[in-house]
Amino acid sequence: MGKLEIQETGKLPRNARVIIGIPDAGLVGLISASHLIESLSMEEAVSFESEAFPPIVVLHDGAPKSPMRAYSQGDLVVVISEIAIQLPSLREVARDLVSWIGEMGSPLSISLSGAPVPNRVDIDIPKVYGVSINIKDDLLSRIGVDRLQEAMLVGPYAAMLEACRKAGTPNLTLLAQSHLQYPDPGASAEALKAASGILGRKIDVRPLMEKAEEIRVKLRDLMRSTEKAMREAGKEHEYELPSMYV
Amino acid sequence: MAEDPFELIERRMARLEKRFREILKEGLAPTWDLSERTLEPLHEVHEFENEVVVTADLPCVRDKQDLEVHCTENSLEIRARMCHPVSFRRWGTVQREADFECYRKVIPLPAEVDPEKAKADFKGGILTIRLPRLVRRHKIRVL
Repeated sequence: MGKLEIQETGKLPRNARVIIGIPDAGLVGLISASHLIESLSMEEAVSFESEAFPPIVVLHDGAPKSPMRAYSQGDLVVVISEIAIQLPSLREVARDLVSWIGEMGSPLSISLSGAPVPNRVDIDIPKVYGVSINIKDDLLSRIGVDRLQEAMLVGPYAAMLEACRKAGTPNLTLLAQSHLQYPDPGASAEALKAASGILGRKIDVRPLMEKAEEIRVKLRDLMRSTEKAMREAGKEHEYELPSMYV
Repeated sequence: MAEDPFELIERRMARLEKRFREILKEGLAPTWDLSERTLEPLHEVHEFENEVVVTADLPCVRDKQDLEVHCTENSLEIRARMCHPVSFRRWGTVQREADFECYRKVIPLPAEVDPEKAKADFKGGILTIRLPRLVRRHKIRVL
């Protein structure tokens, strides 16, 4: 039902590192991916379609496109989705995406997301935590990111981690402290700074912060639909205290 | 005298029905009003034992002087003026530029609150309003 149809629409490099930006907490992944695509002038390379997606076509400069696409530049590929992926198809979409990443010969996929914290309004610089899977050397300590030790992850990035674990595909998930239900460009900027250490590219986040308020205004409706998807997936479990005696 | 439990249930059922109707209406309604140049802000409502906490995301609102908050026992109205209009170009099916200058939202509350004891704070473009719940105490006679 949720099988991902992958159509190459441009130049797709082999052995590229892949950044994943799917709507979730604070839309951190989507904002980060969008900033990368714009600031690196990346070109569209792949269109993803699935019967599990609602019948949506997005128009950019008059051209109809699938809401989920991949862009490329050099040895970097960025996957972005302009719609929240609904619960029934999450696992299947994640599994197909991970399988495609493996077929491309990608040495690493990096998921960028938010780690919702209730007191986000009191945090000036969000801290970034990381989860790594199927990675031998300690990438996280090299880039100065603390490993998330005890937590519960719910939603698209949990599905990605699960699919990577089963497929033996290397994945690094970077989670910046964020709002849950409000778009959070500040958290996206911190996630991107952490990712830049792995990509070996300097990512200028100043333009992102300069238009942070405009981004927050313009992503209201996507945040609303993502909130519904997060509620259906049981995102509130991320606020739960970890079980101590297991 | 203790309140009639059936009346209490009826009142609560009516309130629930009203909320369901509001949710259904909210689901498909646009979150903007072109004629009034207003946007609905994203908001969260959390119900706790002693209070209801409402937050609203109000980017482009700089000063608390630009905020107006009105409260009744059952609802909260937020109005806020942005420091500059936010433009949407070639926007939607109207394919024209749309400018928005204000936020406006009436939020139904999940419990009765005491508006006179409400407190509000505005930081980083996020408005937080704490509304103590209204407590009606009834003496129950033990027969």
